[in-house]
Amino acid sequence: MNTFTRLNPDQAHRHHRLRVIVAMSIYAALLLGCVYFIKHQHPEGGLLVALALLPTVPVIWVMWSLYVYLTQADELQRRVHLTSLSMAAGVTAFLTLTYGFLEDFAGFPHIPAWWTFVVIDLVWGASSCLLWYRYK
Amino acid sequence: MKNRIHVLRAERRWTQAELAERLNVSRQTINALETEKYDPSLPLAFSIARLFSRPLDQIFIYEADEPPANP
Repeated sequence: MNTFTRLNPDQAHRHHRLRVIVAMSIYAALLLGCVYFIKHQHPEGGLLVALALLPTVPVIWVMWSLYVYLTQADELQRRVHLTSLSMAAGVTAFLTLTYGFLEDFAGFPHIPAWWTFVVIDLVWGASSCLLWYRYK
Repeated sequence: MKNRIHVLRAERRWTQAELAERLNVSRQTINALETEKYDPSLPLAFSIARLFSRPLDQIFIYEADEPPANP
C-alpha cells in the first residue's frame, strides 16, 4: 500500500533530488559535529556509540527517498538508476576486494570501511550521468 | 526502432512536457523516445498508440536488421 502522495515521474525526481540535498547537508553537519564532539569531549560507552551512529540517520532517509522515487519513476528513469546502481555495486565490490588483498598481503595502509559508501556513491553518480548522456 | 512520436506530438501542438504528463512519464523519457535512443516497453507503446488513436505499426517502424536502442 502506498503511504505517500502519488507524483508524476518529473515531480518524483525533483522531490527525490531535494530530499537527497537536504539529507546530505544534515549528514555533513552531523558528521562534523560528532567528530568535533568526540575529539574534544572524549565521550565513552553508550554516548560514544550513539554519536558514532548519529550521522547514518540521514542516510536512512536517503534510502527511503530512493525507494519512494523508484516506485514513482517511469521505466527509463528506473532503468538508468538500477543499471547505474548495479555498475556501482560491481565496481565497488571489485575495488574493495582488490584493496583488501593489498592490505592483507602487501602491507598497504588500512582504509576505513566507510570509504565504501563514498566510492559507491561516486561511481553511482558518475555512471548515472553517463547513462543519461547516452539517452540525450 | 524508428517512431513518429515527434510528428504526432507536433500535429497536436503539444510540448514534450505536456505529452509526458499525458503518458505519466518524465520529459527526458519523451526526449529519449523522440530521438529514438530508447525503445519503450510494450505497455508504454500501447499507451502511446491509444493516446494518438493510431495502431502501433503506424507509430513504431521496426526494421529487422537494426540494433535495439536499449540492449
